[in-house]
Amino acid sequence: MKNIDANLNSMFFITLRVVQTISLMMAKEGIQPMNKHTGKMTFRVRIADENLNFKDHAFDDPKVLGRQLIEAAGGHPVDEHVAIAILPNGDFEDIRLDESYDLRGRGVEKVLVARSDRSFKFKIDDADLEWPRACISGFVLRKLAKLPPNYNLWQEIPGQHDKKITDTDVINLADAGVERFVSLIDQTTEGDALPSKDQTYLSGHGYEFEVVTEGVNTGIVLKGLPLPDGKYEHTAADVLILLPRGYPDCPPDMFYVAPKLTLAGTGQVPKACTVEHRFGGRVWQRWSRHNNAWRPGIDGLQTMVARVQTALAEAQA
Amino acid sequence: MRASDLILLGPHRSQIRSLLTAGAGSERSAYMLFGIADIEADPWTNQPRRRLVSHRFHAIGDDDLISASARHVTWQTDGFMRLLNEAKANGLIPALVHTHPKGHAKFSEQDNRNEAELARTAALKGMPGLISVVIAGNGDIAARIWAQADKAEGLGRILHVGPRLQISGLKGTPADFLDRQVRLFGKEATRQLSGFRCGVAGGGATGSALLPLLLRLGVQEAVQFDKDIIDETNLNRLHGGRRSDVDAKLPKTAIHTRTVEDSGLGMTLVSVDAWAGHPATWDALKACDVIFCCTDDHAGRLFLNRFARFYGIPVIDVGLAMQRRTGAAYDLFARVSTLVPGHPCLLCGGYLDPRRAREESMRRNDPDAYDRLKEEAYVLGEGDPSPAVVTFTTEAATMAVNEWLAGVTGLAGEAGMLPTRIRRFHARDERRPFVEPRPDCPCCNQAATLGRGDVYPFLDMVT
Repeated sequence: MKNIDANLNSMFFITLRVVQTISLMMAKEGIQPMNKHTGKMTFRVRIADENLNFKDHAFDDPKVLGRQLIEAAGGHPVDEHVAIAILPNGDFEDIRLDESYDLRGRGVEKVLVARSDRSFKFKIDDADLEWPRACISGFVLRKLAKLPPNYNLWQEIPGQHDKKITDTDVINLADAGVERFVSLIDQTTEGDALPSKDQTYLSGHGYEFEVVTEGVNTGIVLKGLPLPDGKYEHTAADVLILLPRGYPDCPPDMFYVAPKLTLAGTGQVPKACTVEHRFGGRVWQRWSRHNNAWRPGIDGLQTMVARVQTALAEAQA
Repeated sequence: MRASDLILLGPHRSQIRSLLTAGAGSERSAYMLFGIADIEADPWTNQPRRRLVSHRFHAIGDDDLISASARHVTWQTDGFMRLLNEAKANGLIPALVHTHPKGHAKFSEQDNRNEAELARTAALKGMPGLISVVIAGNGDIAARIWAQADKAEGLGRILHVGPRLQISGLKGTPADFLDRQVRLFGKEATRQLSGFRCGVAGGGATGSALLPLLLRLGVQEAVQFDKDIIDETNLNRLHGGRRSDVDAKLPKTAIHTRTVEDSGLGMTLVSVDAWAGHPATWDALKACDVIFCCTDDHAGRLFLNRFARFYGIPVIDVGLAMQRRTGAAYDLFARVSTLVPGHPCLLCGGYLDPRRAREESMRRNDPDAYDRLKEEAYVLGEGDPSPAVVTFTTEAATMAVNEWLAGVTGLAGEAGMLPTRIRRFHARDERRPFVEPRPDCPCCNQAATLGRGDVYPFLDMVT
């Protein structure tokens, strides 16, 4: 029984997300118009079949049985279907076949009817999911995966290359047992191509940083690094460190600063800082400071940051 | 499930063996974690392939051991969930290890039942599989993977990597032309040599000498990495090179392919038209059982130095230095270093220069920036071409292959390959420099990098 409950829960969980979108489209529908013939209030409910086609149904009584809802949606045989009430907040509630359910009491406007006798399991990344039908569209899968717009979904096909899923693709989950889908960022130009030790260091020390790639070059920009008090005509600057291929076994060389720094008072450019360098759509002031002492495994961005700070503190015209 | 094989690294093999001693006749168990090396397309079959690289050994504490005899071991499995969590968090595959001190390296019915249950839990936790390793009292090891909770697949092929190299589970008989070799090394060692998938990074002087040696030793599958075109000045040392190849501007790889094809000795040689380290080479490198590093550049060496650590694939590095010191004196060195667990890396040995590696990468990938810095004298520059003479380059290649033979056959003793040998042609002697790995060196002395397999960014470095 536990397994069945778990299956149902996960099924509801999935369906919830799908219907959340639909809920948006269906919002603000009227609930209780009058019956023209009887003059009584009727209770209108939108019921979706397995294909997520919603149709309006009216009941004289706000209290309906689960089986009535299934019958209304054409679910046959009734005892192999389940009615799922969609609550106003998007949550789901299972309605048992012979349960008298007060639609009004919970403010239910929509109900989903699906076959309950089987479901199809699959994975999106590491999440185990189920879907109560054999067929699923790429659009629905994307919704289930909560994919941001710049991500694509790929279907893993054993022994072959993965297949990219478009919104209009229909995948048969019954085809080959468990299906697996993997999300992949559409394009990657910047982000986390940084060795793990440096990621930990920068995040742990509260630096705001960005990894920027331009062509074959990778650079890290430390944002708004505070400058020594009163030394420059600016109080903070961005610092660029270009990371050579082979880093962190290979040492970085110079560093770069934007905006261009001049010494306070005199307005002079610090020594060996006259060359401009274009990178990542910005113009940087090159600080030609060299130190080829580098200990792989020990030195990293923390070494470079210390070198930068020393250079900034000691700079003279 | 993709076809899988296992790479078992020396330190982990020792830890597995230590369970036999600890049990003193009773069964014992432990856990392990394996890194994943996924190959999109194997260079020889073009099929996807997955290799599992031993990464870490987790002993099961005495407190968790409930009972043990020569026929069973029972332990408390709380640690298993911690193992699964660690595996999941780091993209690793969990493993069970146990001993059969009196039996064979085969899985019993009892093993099948217990493991199926643990495999089920592993699958629920989203693991791509659960590996199981059993070691018999005679040291034989067998492994399998539960990719599904109800079915285990044998991992018949195991590459054992340390100063000694061995592939277990190889089949087939050595080719007839290897008769004289079989008379020296025997059938099994010759089968081993034929079964290694060999990578040769660099098709210059040493690479061109080394590849035909592998061919004559019976290697069946090889892959070469090079991007160079032959030129006039290569003809003094490039084996297989012809004057007409210079006129035709042939890639060096095409010359070596011709040599291999003309021999008719059954080697399948795949060429990758890129420098070792370029993303186009990653897949093929991961598919190798040994890689001979015959490049003369620091960038490629730096890459393979780290690669050997992360993937547990042995790299045998060859380097040469020749110069005329004074009017009559020469310095003529050939160095062979073997990068396997327990041996210091090229960085710790000081055999590669990270600054030169940086400059070489820049020269290849961003020549404009390189030229600008060169004008400002911020880079060392290439200088004049190094001197090179065929007898020394060829001997260096032979040294490298002989070191591999020592690893596979034990011809120089049970200790197998030496960390580094330096032959001084001018002094007619050989040195074995002692190198101490630096503390926390990521390429030879950090537990976290050993057998780590696929990570992002690749090798946890800027590529």
